[in-house]
Formats: sequence, structure tokens, C-alpha cells
Amino acid sequence: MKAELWREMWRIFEEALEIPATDREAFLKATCGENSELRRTVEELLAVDGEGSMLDQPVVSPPGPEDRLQPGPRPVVPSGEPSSIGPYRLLRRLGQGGMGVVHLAVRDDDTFKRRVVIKLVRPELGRDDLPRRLRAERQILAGLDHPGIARLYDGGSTLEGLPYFVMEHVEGMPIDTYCDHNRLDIPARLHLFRRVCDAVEYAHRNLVIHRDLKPSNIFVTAEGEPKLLDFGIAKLLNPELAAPELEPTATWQRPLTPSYASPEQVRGGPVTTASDVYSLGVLLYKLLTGRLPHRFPRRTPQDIERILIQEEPPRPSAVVTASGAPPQDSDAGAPATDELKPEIIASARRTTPAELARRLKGDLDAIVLKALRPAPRERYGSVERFAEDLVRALEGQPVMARRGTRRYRASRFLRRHRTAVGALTALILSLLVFAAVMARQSTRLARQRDQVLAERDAKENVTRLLLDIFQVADPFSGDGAGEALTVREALERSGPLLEQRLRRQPAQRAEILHATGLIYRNLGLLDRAQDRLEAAVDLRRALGRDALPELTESLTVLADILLNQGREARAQEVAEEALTLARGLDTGTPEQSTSPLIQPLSGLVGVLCSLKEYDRAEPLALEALALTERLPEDDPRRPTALLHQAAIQNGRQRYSEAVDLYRQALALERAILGDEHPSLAVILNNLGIALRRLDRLEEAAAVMGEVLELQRKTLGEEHPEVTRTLNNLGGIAEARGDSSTALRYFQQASELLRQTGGPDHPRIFFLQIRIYASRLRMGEARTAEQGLRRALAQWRDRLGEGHRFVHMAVELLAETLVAQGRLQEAEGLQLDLLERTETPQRPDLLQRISKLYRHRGYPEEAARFEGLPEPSSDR
Amino acid sequence: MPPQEPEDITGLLIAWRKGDQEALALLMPAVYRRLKRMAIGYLRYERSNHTLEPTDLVHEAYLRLIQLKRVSFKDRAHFFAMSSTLMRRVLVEHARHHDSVKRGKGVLKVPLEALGDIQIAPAADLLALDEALRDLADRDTEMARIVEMRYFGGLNRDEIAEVVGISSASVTRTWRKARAWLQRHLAAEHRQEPGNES
Repeated sequence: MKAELWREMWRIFEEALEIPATDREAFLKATCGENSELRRTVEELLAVDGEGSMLDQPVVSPPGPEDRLQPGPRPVVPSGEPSSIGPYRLLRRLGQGGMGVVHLAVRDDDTFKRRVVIKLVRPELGRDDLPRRLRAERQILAGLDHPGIARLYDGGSTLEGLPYFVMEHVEGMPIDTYCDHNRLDIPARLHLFRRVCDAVEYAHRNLVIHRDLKPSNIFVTAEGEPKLLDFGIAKLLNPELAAPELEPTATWQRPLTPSYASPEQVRGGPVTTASDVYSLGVLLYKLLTGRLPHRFPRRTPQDIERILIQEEPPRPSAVVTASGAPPQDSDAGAPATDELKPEIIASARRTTPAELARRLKGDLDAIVLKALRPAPRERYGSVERFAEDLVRALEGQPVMARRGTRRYRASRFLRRHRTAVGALTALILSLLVFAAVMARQSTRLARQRDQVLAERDAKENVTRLLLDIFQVADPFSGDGAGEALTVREALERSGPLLEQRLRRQPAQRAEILHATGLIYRNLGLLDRAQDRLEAAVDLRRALGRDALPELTESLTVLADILLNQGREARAQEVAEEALTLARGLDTGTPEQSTSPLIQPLSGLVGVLCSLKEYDRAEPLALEALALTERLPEDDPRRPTALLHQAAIQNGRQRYSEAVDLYRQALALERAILGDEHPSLAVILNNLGIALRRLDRLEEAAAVMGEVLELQRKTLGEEHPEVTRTLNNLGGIAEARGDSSTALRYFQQASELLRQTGGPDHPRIFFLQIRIYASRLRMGEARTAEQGLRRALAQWRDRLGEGHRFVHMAVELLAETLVAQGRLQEAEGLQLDLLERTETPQRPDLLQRISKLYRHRGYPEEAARFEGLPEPSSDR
Repeated sequence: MPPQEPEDITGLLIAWRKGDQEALALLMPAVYRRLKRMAIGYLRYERSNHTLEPTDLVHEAYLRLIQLKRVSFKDRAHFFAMSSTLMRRVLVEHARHHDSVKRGKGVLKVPLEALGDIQIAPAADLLALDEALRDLADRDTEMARIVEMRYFGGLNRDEIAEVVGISSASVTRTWRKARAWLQRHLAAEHRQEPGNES
């Protein structure tokens, strides 16, 4: 604008102010003449003149309503819909989603006239928290770049202040409609579904959970490309990017589609990637069978939750031949009942109901149901795993991902339950014996078992077999998956047969159930194990007094399984019952009084320890300890009892007691396992940490040194566990004031991690920080400073400004500056850091800043930074 | 301890008003550092208490920056005027910082008003205002300067009049125009329409 025009404009403005508002229009018309632009500008200036403004209040103001540009309450949004938004002209309304109206639009000034979709908040929800959530959506989506995810182009606010997004316009139809419309067969459906998985997996890798996967959010284009839409309620996993205003809303307010929501979402529990796995499971169910896994006669949250958790969905292969009531799928609209006829469903898949059922039976049934497990951790560990298993099913290979999971569980379980291996031996024996028992029509199984137990040959054979299967000799490595599967398959086939034959012999049937349950437990198949044990418990309960010892035994095992499933409350109930029964059985005679009580005691102690009920656990643990002392030295139950007691003492922060117990357990374990077993390193490590807590640093260093040696021998020089130990050793050395030794350990650890974890492992950065902390303490402040600056340059962008390690490095950098007397620079860094730390408050950092100010002669500032809750005195 | 701390801001101010240009060179960074430190201290404090009055920061900052009894009204006005520029810088930096922290790196550029509030004045508004003020300064330096002194410096009409060298009535008139122009400018940005003042 030219200078004279500028002056002219203000002259008119000032004159207009003198005139009553009603006469202004005429005045402006007369004054501005032909210059309509000038007139409009002055009109606008006059219009805003009376409005409230952010300028009316000085700069610092307390937190208040977000939109300070709007005076007073947010203006009422006009009910009519706009014809354009920003540079976009709205063409037609496409639909209305949970939080917004969706329009098809075109950018007028765009040479390509690209068509886009504009999503706009529903006016009646305009004052809700929805704008915020939409804002979040915009940020999240912008970070995602994948051909299977609809792009976000732009975003802004309408004149009325309502946020909108401009997104890629996906022409196509919802995935379920697309599949039926094109009569895709099962392999084609699976193929398409896998590509959806790819996109979801991509989002997960970028720490985004979709949270609302359903057909209407998954479009397929005419070219057959699936596109995910609407990350409307996705939330970043990365807490640093999850802006604080994204406070969790009550789940039920979320525009979730219950049919596809996971139990934890309905319950309002934590939502993880496993929730998306669940929703994908529902989707796959729908694509395969044309139905939803669950039916909800009533749609209250309580009913839905109950159904989702308690009712196992029917196997896909079972529903495709049955004609039933239509599922309640509000999402796709109620389909005509006709479409749910098995013939029609099958025909949309180019097959017949019977053929479809055959196709789904087995692998696909298992895969879908695994994705639909109520407990998140029992589903696939990732979408990738899920997809991989589908590929295997398509290629007719055995489902490897499930086997992998099982093997992992089995090995992990065995690591925790080395004592169970003895029991397992007995159990396999009992199965072997059982064959003999069957042959000889014997009825007293237990006695026979005792006899055979004495036969060393058999025992050794079975032990070797077990070692082969589970690789117990080296629990940290090895490959025993094949055999594990064989055992399981054998069980699956023979179990029902045996059970059927023994229908009239409940005692033996219970024995078989108990035995197979134990095997399942040791294979990590906890649901099946629980099933068998529950059945065994029921049978044995019905058998009355005679079966009480066996009932106790089954209850004890069941409690352990429940504990491993994370169902601690039930585990406690069962374990308490087992112990009560065991006490009733205990006759107190020297020969008998040991064994029957130990396992139930130990079981209950385990449960109480995980509930952190140390007060209740302790007397029981002591009782078990006293009982095990009568056992032979090499009985694995003895170290177990000691370790339980040690865990209790550790939990109550009585570290010196814990130290004694760890040492005793260690001595026994050494006798049982030999000197070179990786399990010893675990105990030694705990011992070392307890010693460090006691400030017995010399001993801690010695013990940790042992851990290192042991790990190097049993796991190899380059095992990731070794890094951890080196880091612990460095920490102990630092605590002893021996910074140069600490430095060496940290350097070794960092070198090792570089080799084993690759150069991008974030813990390398952590170790670098520790290295420079040691250097600082060695008086090499300048070196430390330069090193830290280099490290920060390398890691800052990779980890992001808010990463804990970045904060640590900056703090340390400030300390190196303080040590060099460069106080103003240090101040700058610390203040920056403080600005970045939102919540929780950082008492240590505040204290350091306050100290710095006091040091420099700024008592008021020092006080300002102190005027916060007293930090704990550990610094 | 380095002897120059705490900086004798009042002394520097008096020296500057007596014509010592070097004193100004020392004065600016010294005031800036103290303002920044106070602002951040306040923000921490405010978050834990929510009892801070809006104008506290500005007033207390000034009270602690100089010993008012030692300086004349004239000096004080000039000092406040200078400080208002620094205050603007401190707050805009702070807002920009929060802004980038919240958005993360390399993420799509989104309109400012949509970024959500931070604890002090909404960061987005501050940044938008800063931008608009720069625009205004291109057209009319005095207008922008008056806004800066009043909004970021908390100067009253008479103080501004003293610094700019115009009558108090002129200050009021100019303020009203500047305010309208900024208001319209911000609203235009709000609508995401390119300005039409060419």
C-alpha cells in the first residue's frame, strides 16, 4: 500500500469514528468513491475497533480459554454450511462421521483442480473438545507417508473457528463392500487384508495406533489399493509428542464403533497396538465369514464388555454354514437378511458353504481367534506377526509365528520354573506308565508311577528327551521348536482319545487331565493348561475324600498357571484353598510332614510376592524354608524357597537380609546346576544390586565381576546381557569414586553395544553420557563438554528434543560448563531445559539452577526456583 | 565470582542516559538475560500455583531490574521502552520454542491459531502478533513501537508520550488505530486469506 493511501485510509478511519455508527455507511460511500477496496478495508477496521482484543491485556496472562482472538464466549456457529472453506470450494457433502462432516471439495486456484476431502467439525460439537482432537489428528497424520494411508494435505480453521482438514480424496468403497462386490475369493481377500496390515504396521512403527479400524475407515480404490482413512482418535505412543491437552477422554465418549473395538477399549483400559490387532481380527472375521464375531443384543458398555470378554466367538468355519440372525453392524448398515444366508455369503467368495467351511477350518480359524483373544498379550505380538501367519496359511506352511510364540513362552517359562522340570519328568513318565497301566488294566496308577519312578533307565531317557525338546541345557539359545510342536501335536491327538476311553474312570481321567495340563503349562500354552487343570480339579473335587491329595496338587498347579496368566486375584484364591487342604492332610509325622505342604506354600508365596503382599508372604515363606531344609541338598525346591524369601526381603528394602539369602541360594544352585549356568548370573546380579544399595561397594563390584565372567563363559563375549553388566560395573565404580575404572567399563559397554546392537542403539548415547560424566569427575570438563556436544549433535535429531537421554546430556553439559566457570552459558542451557520439561517437575534440576543463582548472587531468582515442593534428599 | 554480577543495571542506565553509548551495549544483554530468567522462573511458579496476576511479571521485573528511586521519570520511561523490546523477544522466543516442541520436527506447517494454548499467553497468538507487528512496522514504525511499549512493556500513555515525543492524546489515537489494524490483520490470518493491502 502506498504511503499516501495509508495516510488517507487512517484519515477516513478517524473521521468515521466521529460519526454515529448508523451514518458511517453513507459517509464511506461518499468519501471512498470508486475505491471499493479502500472502503472495505476501512469498514473492516471500524468493525474490529469496538471488539475486545488480546492487546487489551498485558502480555502475561493466566491460562484461559484457548482462543484469545475471540472476545468473550465463542460466537455461535451459524447452522448453515459454508460453500467454501479457505481456498477450497465445497462440491458436495459426502457423509457424516463420528466427529465431523465430510465434504468433497476442490481447490479453486489449483491448476490441477485436485479434488480433496474436507473434514469439518460438526457445528453442534464445536464447543466440545473435538477441535483439539482434530488438531491432534492433523499433526499425527501429517507424519505418516504410506501408499496405504490417505494423505493429509492441509488444515486450518473456518471463519467460525472450527478446525478442518484437507485430505486425499479416496475414490472407492469400504473394504467389505468391495470384497463382496467384486466377489473376491478367500485368497484374494487375505491378500487384500495383508496390505491393510502393512499400512497399520507402518503406522505402528511410527508410534501411531489407529484405534478405530473398521470397514468404513478402510477404502479400496478401483485399482484395488486399500487406503486407511481417519486417524480420528489415534494417539501417539510417543509421550513427547502427545500434547498434554490430549487428556484421555472417557472411553465411551469416543466415537468408537463397538463392533470393532477391543475389550480393553470398551473397558477404557490402556490401548496398545494389540487393540488394532483385535480390530483387524474382527475385520478379517467379517471378510472371511460375512459376519461379526460377536452379537450384542443390547448395546450398553457393560453388556458389550461382558460379551467381549466372556463369550468366545464361534470359529469362522462354524458360522459360514449356519444361518443365523443378522449381526448388529451399525457401521455397514444393517445388511438385508438375505445376504446372510450361507449360500449367498459363500457365493460372494466364489465357493459353497461347505467348501468355505473346509477352507477356513484349522489354520484360518486359529489365526482369527488368536487375534480376537480378550487379553491383549495373548493376541499376536504385532500386526506383522499376524500378517506373516496369514501368508503361511496361504502357502500351506505351518503357522510359524504361533510356534515362535509358543517356543518363546516355553523357554521363558522354563527359565522361571526350572524346578518344574522335575515335575514334568514325572509327568511324562506317568503318561508312559499310563500306557502300561492301560495294557495291564491296572487301576492304581499312582503306585505304579512310584515304582517306575525308581527305574533309572526310564528316567534318564525321559530326561534326555526333555532336554532335547526344551533345550533346557541352554535356555538362552537353541532351537527346539520342532519337537515342542510334536509333543503338542501328540497330545492334541491322543488326549481326547484317552479321555474318552476313561469316561467311566474319573480318577484316571483326572490324572490324565492334570498331566496334560502340566505339559501345556510347560509349553507356555496357558489357556489350554488352565482348561485341563480346571477339569481335573472338578473331577477330583467330585471324587471326595480319597482324592484330596491329588486335588491339592491340581489346585497348586492351577494357581501357578493363573498367576502366569496375570490373574492374580483368582490365583490367590486357588492357592489359599490348596494350602488349606494341604494343612488338613498334613499329619505332622516326620516322614510325611515335608512334601505335601511345600508346593502349596511356595505357590501361595509366589502369588503374594507378585501382589507385593510381603507381610503375609513372609511367615509362609519362612515356613516353606524350614520345611525344605529337611530335603536333600540337591532338591531344587530348596533354592526356590530361599529365593522367594530373598525377593520378600528385597521388596521390603531389607537388603542385608536379602544378600544373605541370595548367597545361600547361590550355594545350593551351584551344587545343583554346576558353576557355569546362566541362571546363576541372574541371582548374582540381584545380589550385586542389593549390595550396591547397601553401599557395600567393594563386595558389589566383586559380585558384579563374577556376573561378567559367568556371562562371558555361558553366553559368550558378545551377548547383550554383558552390556548391562558392564554398565552396572561402571555404576558401582563411579559410586566408589573410581571414575577412571568406571570410564573403562562404560567404554567397553558402549563398544560392545555398537557391535551387538548396531550404531543406532539409543543406549549407546546413554553410555556416552556416562562416559563423559566420568570424564567430568576426572577433571576433564573441557573434553567432556566437547564430547557431549558431539554426541548431542549426533543424537538430538534422531531421538527428538524431549528424549530423556537428550535431557540428561544437556544437563551434564551444563555441569561441565559450571565446572569451567562458564556460568552464564550453563544458565542458558538449564533454563532451556526447564522450559522443555513440562511435567513432572524436576526438583533436582530446579535445585541445581537455584544453586547456580545463589552462587552468582541472585538470591531472589534462587528463591523463585526453590519455591516448589522440596525435592527428596537423595541428591 | 565474576565481579560483573549481578549487573548494575541502574548504574548502566544512568550512564547511558548521560550519553555513554557503551553502557547501552552492556545494558541490553544484561536486561535481556534477567528478563528471560525471571520470565521462566515465573512460568514455573505459575504452573504450580495459578495465583499469578497477569501484570505481575512486567511490574516485578521492572521493580527488580532497576532501583526506581535512583532514576528519573524520563529515564524510567526510556528504560521501560527499551525493555519492552526485550520482553517481546523473550516471550516470542519462549512461545516459538513451545510451538516447535509441541509440533515436533518436520511436521506439516499448520495455521498458528490451531496449535493450542500454552500456559502463559497462547503461544500461537503471541507468534501471530509478533508477525503482524513486524508487518505493521514496515508501514508505520511509530504505530508498531507504541503497541510494543504498551503490550509488551506495560508502559502507560504518559510514558509512551515521553519516549516518542508526542502528546498523550496522540498516543491514544495512534494506539486505537494500531489496535484496529492488528485486530483486522490477525482476523484475516485467522481466515487464512492472503492480505489484500497492496
